[in-house]
Amino acid sequence: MAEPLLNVEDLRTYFSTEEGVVKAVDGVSFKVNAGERRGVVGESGCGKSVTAMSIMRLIEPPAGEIVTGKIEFDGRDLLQLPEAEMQEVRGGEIAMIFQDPMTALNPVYTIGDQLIETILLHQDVSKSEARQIAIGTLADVQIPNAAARMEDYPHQFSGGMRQRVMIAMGLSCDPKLLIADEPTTALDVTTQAQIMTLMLELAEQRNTAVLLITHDLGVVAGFCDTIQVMYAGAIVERGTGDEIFHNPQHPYTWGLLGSMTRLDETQQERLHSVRGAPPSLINPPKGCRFGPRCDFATDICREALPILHQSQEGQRVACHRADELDLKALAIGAAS
Amino acid sequence: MNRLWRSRRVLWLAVLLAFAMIAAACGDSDDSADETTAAPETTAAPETTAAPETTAAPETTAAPTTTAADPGKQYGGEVVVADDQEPPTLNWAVPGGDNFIVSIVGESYWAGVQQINGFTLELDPELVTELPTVGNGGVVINDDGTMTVNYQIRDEAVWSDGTPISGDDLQFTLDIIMDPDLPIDKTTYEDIVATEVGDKTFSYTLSQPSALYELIFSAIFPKHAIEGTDFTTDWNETMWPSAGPFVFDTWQKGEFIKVVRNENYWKTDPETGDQLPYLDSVVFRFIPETESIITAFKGREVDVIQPPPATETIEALQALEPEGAIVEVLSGPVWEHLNFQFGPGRLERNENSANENLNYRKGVAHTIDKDLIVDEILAGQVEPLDSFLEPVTPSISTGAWAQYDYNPETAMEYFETAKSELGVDELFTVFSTTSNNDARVKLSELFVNMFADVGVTYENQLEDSQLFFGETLDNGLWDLGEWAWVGSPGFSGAISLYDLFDPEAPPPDGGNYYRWGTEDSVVIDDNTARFAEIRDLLNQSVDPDELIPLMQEGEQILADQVVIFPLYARLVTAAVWGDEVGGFKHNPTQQGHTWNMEDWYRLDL
Amino acid sequence: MFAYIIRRLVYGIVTLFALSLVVFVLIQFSGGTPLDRLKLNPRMQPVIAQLTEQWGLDKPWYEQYFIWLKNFVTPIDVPSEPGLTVVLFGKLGIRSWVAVAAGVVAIGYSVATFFIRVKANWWRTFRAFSIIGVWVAAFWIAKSRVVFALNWGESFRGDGAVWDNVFGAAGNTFRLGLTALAIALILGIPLGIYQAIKQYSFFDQMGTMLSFITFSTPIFIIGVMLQLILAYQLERWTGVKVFYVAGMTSSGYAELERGLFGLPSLAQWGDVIQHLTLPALSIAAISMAGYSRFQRASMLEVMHSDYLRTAKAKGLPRRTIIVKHALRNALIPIVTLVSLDIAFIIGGAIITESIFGWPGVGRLYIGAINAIDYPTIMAVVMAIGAGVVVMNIVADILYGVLDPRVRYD
Repeated sequence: MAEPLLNVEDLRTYFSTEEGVVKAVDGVSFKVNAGERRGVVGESGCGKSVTAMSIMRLIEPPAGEIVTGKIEFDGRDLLQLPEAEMQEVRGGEIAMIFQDPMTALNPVYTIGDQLIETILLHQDVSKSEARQIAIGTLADVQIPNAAARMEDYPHQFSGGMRQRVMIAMGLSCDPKLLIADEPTTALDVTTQAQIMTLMLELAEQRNTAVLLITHDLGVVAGFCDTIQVMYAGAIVERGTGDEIFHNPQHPYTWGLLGSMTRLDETQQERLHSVRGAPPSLINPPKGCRFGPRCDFATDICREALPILHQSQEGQRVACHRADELDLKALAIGAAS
Repeated sequence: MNRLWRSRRVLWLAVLLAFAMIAAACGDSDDSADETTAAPETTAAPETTAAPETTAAPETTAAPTTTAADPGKQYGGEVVVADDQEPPTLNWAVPGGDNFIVSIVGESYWAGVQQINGFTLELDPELVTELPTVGNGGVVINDDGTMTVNYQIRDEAVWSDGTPISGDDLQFTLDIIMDPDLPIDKTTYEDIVATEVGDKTFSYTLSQPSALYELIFSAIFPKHAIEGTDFTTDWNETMWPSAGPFVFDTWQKGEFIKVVRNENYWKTDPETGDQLPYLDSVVFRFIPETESIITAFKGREVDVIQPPPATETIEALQALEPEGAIVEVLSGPVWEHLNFQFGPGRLERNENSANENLNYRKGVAHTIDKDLIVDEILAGQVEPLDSFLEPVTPSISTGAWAQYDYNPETAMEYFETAKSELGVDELFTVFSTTSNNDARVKLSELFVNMFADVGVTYENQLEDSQLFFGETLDNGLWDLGEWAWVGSPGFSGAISLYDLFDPEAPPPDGGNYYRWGTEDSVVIDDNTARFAEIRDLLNQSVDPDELIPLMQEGEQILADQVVIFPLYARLVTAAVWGDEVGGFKHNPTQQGHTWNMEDWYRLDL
Repeated sequence: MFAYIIRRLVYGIVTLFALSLVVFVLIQFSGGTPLDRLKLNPRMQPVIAQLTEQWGLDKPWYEQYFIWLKNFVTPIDVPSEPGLTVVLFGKLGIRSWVAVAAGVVAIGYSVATFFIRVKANWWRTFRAFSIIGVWVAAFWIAKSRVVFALNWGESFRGDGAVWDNVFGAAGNTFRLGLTALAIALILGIPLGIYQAIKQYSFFDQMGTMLSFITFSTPIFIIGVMLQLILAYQLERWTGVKVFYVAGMTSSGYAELERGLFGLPSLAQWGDVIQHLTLPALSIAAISMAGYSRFQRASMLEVMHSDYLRTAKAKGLPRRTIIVKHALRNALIPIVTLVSLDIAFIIGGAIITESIFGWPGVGRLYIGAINAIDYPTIMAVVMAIGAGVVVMNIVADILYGVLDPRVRYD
């Protein structure tokens, strides 16, 4: 197997607050291959965004700090890179798209200015060439009349259009990895699908790997090669789309699937969902962190922290009872 | 990126351009005549002049400024005089010209018949060879009851342009003053019924004898320069040809006035025979804050100051004496006095007012501890007053109020008598003065204890000066009051003070604010009648042998009747860097501390 | 935008009208008359009667108001002999022409950009500053009395035409106030920004403490302390006169060598700076403390914004992020603060001008109030009122330049 594009090993990112140390990401490891589409799913506060920010090294000391871990990207450990080289990586090799397009663009500069700025930063081109590239990218994201709209300010665009601009900005430098942090959350449902399709098509054309972060399993369904589910700062299950959707091994994944909104949903009745609230990341519960919310928890779940391991079904899962439980049957039962 | 860079550049350029434009437009223009900034000018203190001319006062703490070991007076140099006001105009005969500061600056370029000597506090002849009196024949009482005054102008007296000063200039000055369109004080001048103009002589005839002739024509106008021009607009901001030691150079409005040597000045130093003045230039700088004036003086940015004589100020300045400063603290012409209202308005302030009772008034006079007041308010720098004539003309005064010593027991006896005469069980006193004068507020606080000691029910009702000197004074709406008058020198000055008690002159046309003996007064008796006579007699004579006994009789009546009760004269102070400037002598009268500018010289040349 | 400006000006005129009425009534009913200072002297009674009639003080107050109002807006003849051109060239120095020319150019630009659809920032910027240009040009034309002057009457104190006094003093107050504003902006804003960038550092904590101390010190105390330390003590220590306690220029200013084209020479600039620094600093100190606090807060808010995270994710260097992306957004709120602060600076100037003997509007105003010289009081109030109205419009327009989201309608 070829060298992975991104190799995250035992990443731990902690935040100091007045109440104590928040272990937002607590021992996350995963690999992303070139051109792969990877989905990261979890509730708010599970550490998925912090993982992305850690990869970009946008965690600002002294509030937040990457305490241990290794982030290998394209053969380099990003955590060891000097700031100047890291700036080359940001936006150039790894691009990132944020959740709220309404506030993610600087309101006082035209979108042309903001696009050209990125291009000039990472590519050795003249200003007029950069402008041509920017117009081209805007056209790629299907913004009509791209050349004229270069002169417009962000507030003159709708939310969906702004997210297209963000995508254009992210992809304008042909990055190897695109991190999309909840890219469609703030958009209405019909726009969501268009944006997702557009983003993934463009990524495929450019052979850009995508790390798609979302709380909504429905968004990643059908788009991603691999999906990893995060809970309370750690990965609890990882597998292909088929595996996750049709054969969930972790009760949390199973719960998420149950609460999933699906456009094709006909069943009115919800059979199951995840009860309770996520645990505190300052003093996480002993044993399995999902334990207190898990319908299937036993004594061992309250004693020992399960680690991510290869399950009998093939995907990786962090659950003591993964092999005992037949969540698939329950899931299918729920779905049919 | 390019556009952004450019836009930022342009933004900053625009900011710079805007500032530069504004700076350019706001800067003083190339021709200083365009600068027409006005500076604030605190109007003449409310204790307005009883007579607007000048005053002599005794010197209490004299600090000799002319050093004996004179290294020789040298020509050249500049002296900076600081004051907290700016003259609104440089022309004393237009509105605003009556301001004291106008005469301070005016000393540099005007000359008149007489001036008050700062050393002797007596009148010296200036443009004339000698001051006219009955004795030297300069003043003649005519058979028809009129009085003629003759001036002999000095031969050497010339304007700065070389034109000799002549009798025409005096006549011209008179004509200007009598211009009905000019809203200025025409007192005495309006009594001139005839004039006679010669080349170096001028005489005029007054319709009746009056000592007020002493002080008129204290500044004159050059006919040859002013005639045919618009007097009220053309001569406000520039000086006319100078008859004084300096000529006008610059007026930077709001900042300073600069005068430079009058090369044609006619006066010489009587000691050395040197042509005066010694200095090349004098700058009058206007700094409104006393605090800043003192800081500027400490930093030797200014050489001569005359700050308001607050105790802290005097102490701060005296601390500089080891470094070479000379501080003069003198008793000034402004005298504070306690007084009683005799008109019906007193009852609006105090329905139980006992002002009509002489024994009550005498009781009050014995209640007041003047020594304590002087100690508390003037840091004991001067003696309290025993007469209103003391600060002005001590040689005339008999100190008539000395009969009232501070004695609470005597006071209580008088009060008992008053009570039985009035048929009351209790005496009520309401005291009013201005609340925005620290010294007066302190005075009111001291009174509380003094009146408590003698068992009088006492209350302070202080008011803002605008109200007090407005409605309250106009309508006589007080019971026991306190404020100050400015005394004036000579017989004329002393006589004008008697107008203040003239039973025939109630306000608004007269000055008897106390309403002692006026039509609506509660006190009309032989004393008021006699005083009215004395006042009339005083205004019909110029003979000292007649005037002095009359004045003393009047003074005695006012003291015996306790119409007023003089307290103390305010201090005046001036400071000069004695190691840099020689020849300075403060003049506490309204002649001002610049009276002998021509004699000033620099020691550090 | 022009319709907007015109509408704002109309509102402004209505406001000024109401202001004049209120102030006039207040003066009339606050007790005392301009002639009170003469009143106690019985000899002055004829003078008082004469002036009362001459100034119309015996008329009812509303009649006095209408006479004042009518005169206030009535132009008076300006000297036009011997031909307007000669008068213009004779009277205006090169500096005035620079100001007038800049104003004319600015008006030209404004009109041009109204007809051409231009989006570029610098174009908008220039248009905004053109308003200031027009203002300055109008000020200078008014001051020099060449094109027009209004009949603002004669001062009751006898110090001449109110029009000349007000505009003469206004120039000096602008000089002082704008220098103070410039100092406050140049020092206060970077200070706040630096504090925000280095949040919770020693420098930040010290800056915060100093800001609070300065902010709570009365301007009078600051002025007097600056005089004592920087004017008096500094000279004692160094033996060199660095700053002056009082005045705007030295008495020898006019004798100093002049620069090219009649502009001030270096020596003259130096003399002005020696006089200007302390009063400007004492006015600037409080504003500076305020600006730095405000700028720090505003900068911190921007630093935590989403678009700044975007900028970081784009790989921009920190410097570019702060200077380009954070700063401009963080400067938007302070524009409002600064424009409101103009009134405060004028207020500060009133006190400071007295302390430092500066011949500006503040001194003029205090003197006028003491003398109840209401032609001058009214003129100063109206001039400051007009200044505030114009500054508010300028602020709105500047706001639009910095923030393209602002629309005028």
